[in-house]
Amino acid sequence: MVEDKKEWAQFFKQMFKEGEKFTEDLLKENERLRQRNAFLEHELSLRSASGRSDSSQLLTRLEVLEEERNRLKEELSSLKRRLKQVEKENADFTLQYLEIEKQNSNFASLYVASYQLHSTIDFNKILKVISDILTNLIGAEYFGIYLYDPRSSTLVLTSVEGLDEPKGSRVELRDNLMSRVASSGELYIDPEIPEPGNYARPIALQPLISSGDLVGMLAIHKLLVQKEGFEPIDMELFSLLGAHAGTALLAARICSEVQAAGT
Amino acid sequence: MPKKILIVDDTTSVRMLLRMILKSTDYELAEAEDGVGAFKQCNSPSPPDLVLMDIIMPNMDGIECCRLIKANKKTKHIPVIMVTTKGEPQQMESAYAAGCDDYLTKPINRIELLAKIKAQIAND
Repeated sequence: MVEDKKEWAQFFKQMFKEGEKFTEDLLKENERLRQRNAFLEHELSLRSASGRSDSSQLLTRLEVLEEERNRLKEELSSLKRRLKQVEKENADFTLQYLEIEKQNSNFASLYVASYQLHSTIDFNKILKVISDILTNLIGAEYFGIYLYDPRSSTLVLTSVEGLDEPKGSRVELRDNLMSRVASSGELYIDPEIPEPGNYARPIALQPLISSGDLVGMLAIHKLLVQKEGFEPIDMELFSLLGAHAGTALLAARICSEVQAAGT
Repeated sequence: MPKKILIVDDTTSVRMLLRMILKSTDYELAEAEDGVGAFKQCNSPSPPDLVLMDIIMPNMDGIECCRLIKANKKTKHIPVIMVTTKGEPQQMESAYAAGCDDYLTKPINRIELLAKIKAQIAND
């Protein structure tokens, strides 16, 4: 019986010891878990704070980039506007350049025509100069140069290019186109485009005047194939011929008459 | 050294006009009144770098002169631009058949002339 009691006491003692140890282990585990929990909570709070900070930084960066993008967009449209302006300026300069080049070319033609008309007092050479001006500077293919004969009141064909009329043929100045143009003293341009092959009617008539008197007339019947029509420079050349060619021809004729009388 | 351009035309007015147009450029200018004179200058010790040639001329016309220039080993490299009143297609064909490098009709357009010269001399 005593033996049994000792065994039971031993058994309970052992059981209490194990219970104590188990409780100690539980407390230890509990402490460990509490610490772990505290650590994780700390971590979580840290991460949450960090996340909030990253988003804020990203938002700020985004705003900066947005501003940069807007600035670049404005710069781009400003550059596009400038480019358009420069292109327009460039086009204007090109037009101005072309206009100046054209004017230079016109001045050159007028200078050459004027210079050549006064380069000689030989009658035939002046006729040749007038023909050269009509062909090379104006672009006439068929034309006649008439001189006025005041005794018969006729225009005498003195030089001819491309036309069938022979030299020396005369046009009476009475109630016809040439007569009207001679009276006006002004350049005549036919407003109608003649049919191809019909070159009988002149497309332009320029009276040659000296000191207000009729000296002769230029009659253009056909332009060169590449020449589509008269241009402003042609009007200037006609005007120059009208004012200077007549005087040059008259002076040359008088000069040759004086020379002939002297010999 | 400036490039040399030979102006070939029997008409004084045209030679004078071409001189005036080309005066503002850096080209050195020479003149001939017909094909004979032009061919002679092309075979000289100082030949031109380019020839501006009229077609209708006395003694030797522009087509014949161009043919001779292009048939000659010594001169065939010289670019020839025909500058003429003749704007008909058959005239152009004849000129190109003779070996001309370009073709310009009168009345002369200054800008067109300068562009054609520049193209030929730049290609050279």
